[in-house]
Amino acid sequence: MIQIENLVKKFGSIRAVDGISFSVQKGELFGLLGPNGAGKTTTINVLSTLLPPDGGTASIGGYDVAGDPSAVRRLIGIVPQEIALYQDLPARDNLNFWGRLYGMSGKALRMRVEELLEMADLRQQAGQKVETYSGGMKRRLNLVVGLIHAPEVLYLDEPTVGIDAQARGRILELIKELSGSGLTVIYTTHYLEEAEHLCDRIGVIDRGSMVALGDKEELIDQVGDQDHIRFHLPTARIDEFTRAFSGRQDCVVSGVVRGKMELLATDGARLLPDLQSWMTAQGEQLEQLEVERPNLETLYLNLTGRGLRE
Amino acid sequence: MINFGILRSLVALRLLRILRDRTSLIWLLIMPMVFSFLMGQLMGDWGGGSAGSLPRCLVVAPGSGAEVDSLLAPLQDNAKFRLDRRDTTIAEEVVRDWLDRSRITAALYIPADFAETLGDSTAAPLRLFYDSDRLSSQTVRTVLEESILRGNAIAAARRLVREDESAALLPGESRAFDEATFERWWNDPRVFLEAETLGRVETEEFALTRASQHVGPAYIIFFVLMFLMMSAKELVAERKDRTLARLVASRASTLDLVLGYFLAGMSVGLIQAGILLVLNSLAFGLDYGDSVAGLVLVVLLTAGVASAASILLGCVARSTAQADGLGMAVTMTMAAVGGLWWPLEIVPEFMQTIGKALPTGQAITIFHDLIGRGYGVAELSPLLLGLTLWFVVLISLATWRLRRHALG
Ligand SMILES: Nc1ncnc2c1ncn2[C@@H]1O[C@H](COP(=O)(O)OP(=O)(O)O)[C@@H](O)[C@H]1O
Ligand SMILES: [Mg+2]
Repeated sequence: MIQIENLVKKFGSIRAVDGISFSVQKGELFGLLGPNGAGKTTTINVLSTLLPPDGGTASIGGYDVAGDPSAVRRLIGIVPQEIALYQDLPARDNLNFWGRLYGMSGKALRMRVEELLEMADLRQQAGQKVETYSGGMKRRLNLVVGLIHAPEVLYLDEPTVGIDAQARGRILELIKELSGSGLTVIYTTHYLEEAEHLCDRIGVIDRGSMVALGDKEELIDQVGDQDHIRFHLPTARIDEFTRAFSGRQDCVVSGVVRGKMELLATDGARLLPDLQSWMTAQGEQLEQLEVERPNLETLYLNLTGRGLRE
Repeated sequence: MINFGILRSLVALRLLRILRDRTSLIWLLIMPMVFSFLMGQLMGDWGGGSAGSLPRCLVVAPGSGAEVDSLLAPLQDNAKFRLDRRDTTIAEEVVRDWLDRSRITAALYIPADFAETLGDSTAAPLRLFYDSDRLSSQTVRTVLEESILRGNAIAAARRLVREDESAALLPGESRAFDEATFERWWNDPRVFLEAETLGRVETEEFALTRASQHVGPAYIIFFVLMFLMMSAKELVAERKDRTLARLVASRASTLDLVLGYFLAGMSVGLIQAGILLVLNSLAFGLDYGDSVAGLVLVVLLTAGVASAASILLGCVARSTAQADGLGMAVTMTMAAVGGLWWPLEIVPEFMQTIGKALPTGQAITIFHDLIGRGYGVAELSPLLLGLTLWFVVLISLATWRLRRHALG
């Protein structure tokens, strides 16, 4: 459904998107994960025909974004990162406007608007001006406006940014439902949990480049399936410790990482009691213990040397 | 290419948003009327009375008497000029200069001893300076010639009177001059000429007679421009909050979008101008001349230019505050230089040239010509063309900028 090859978008000397490639199958929910400034919005803008690409190609449903933008526009729905609504109008008027713009009218429009208000859980407040809504309500309306014309492809650009955890949960549920119904979705976020929770496939983008791409499980496999255990160990005990643990089948001593001793264990939970008793036997306290399950954060850290939320 | 459904929804949205906002109605209609009323009152009738701005015929008459009064009587209360009688001498060079600079349309010198010379039966010379290119000047000459003819006829008739009772009457003579009989024959001429003077020659003169004839249309143009320029921030806001991005990424083409915005602004401008035109005519008895087509065209083009300028401003301003500031600055400059606050006719010539290059100057001049001279579309065509040119340039620039700057 979506094919992107070596896409480049420059702003002056900044290469906001620097040769990324990926494809999204029909009905798939693709996550574009990356920190602020990574180039997510720029990518979405190119795919929405709002910005012309400076290199590479992108096609939606077989139509090239640069060559046949109006065909692309007919396929897509966009949910911008900003609350792109007429705040001085009520939710219903907003939806009516976009519906009419897409040529709907009469009963069909009324039904579609009610359906979307229901979906966004805004039927009660549909007559109130959007500016009186809470952040979560605005975000939900922002989302369903992008659906009014039943697009085949939906771009969701950080649709949960700036709202509380509960409101976020409702939006994620909504998106899950949508993607179950055959809609092709590109979902951008800098929240790792969201990408992990929602997406079938994930691309990790950083400084305009795709640093990792694949199924969620594949990506996690790249980090390895081992738990990372780190704890404080006095320097004098390092040799002793290495001798004691390097012979074991279920773990690898990886050495001192960021001032702490690190162990990679196939099953951290089983290893911990042994570690505890060894330390006690040496007359040491097990201090500053960290146990890290394999996840995308680790992957991201490994790939870029930076945290996602820096 | 153009989708009318899209246009309709865009225009409806704009109108809905403007009309929902009560405060915008103040600037749309109430302020223009208040200003028209206040300024109309303040400036009042120009020069007092409906003859206030009529071209002036200067009469230099140091002497006085019934003879001078009866000579000047027919020149009193003329529709084409007004008399300005002075009893001090004014040097000829001064008068010529005034005539050259259109401060007066004609000057008549009546010698101080006019009455005596008439009594002597010697010829009494009168000197008239006038400009044959001007209707008012020609009229002065015609009326004066008629008055002199009448005076000479009376003098001739009086010579036929033999007042000496003892002398015998010669054939054709009578004992007394019968004023009433003379008047009857004078008013019933056997031969007369119906000459027609064409009025087009008067164009460089100021044709308006009342302040409201300028103030009324000037404030219509000003507030149409101001209201639309002030609404440019809506487009900036749409760029910032990405509703414009949504529109650009929708099935609407650039042409649809520009036309949608344009027609919405134009509708607002037309509604505003229409209501104000009617209110002005009701409140101040303003008469917009004889050319309905000219009036319709100037209103359409004014609203069109303002609407296109508003889109362009909405596309170039970086923030809503900048749109407001820039919009106000442009509106004020256009109003001042274009002659909306004071008539262009009173500013130096080079400022007039600049003023008439601006759409505001073109629009107000068209109104002046419609109201003051009764011009039609043919005479107005250069100015109408100027406005059209502005419109084409502005709307093209706006179209070019809109999609490129959809992302704020
Ligand atoms: N219109 C623009 N002009 C100049 N630089 C831009 C523009 N838009 C984005 N950028 C730059 O491009 C990079 C990517 O931005 P963006 O795509 O918004 O990132 P993200 O959405 O992942 O946070 C950033 O360095 C940003 O500063
Ligand atoms: Mg972004």
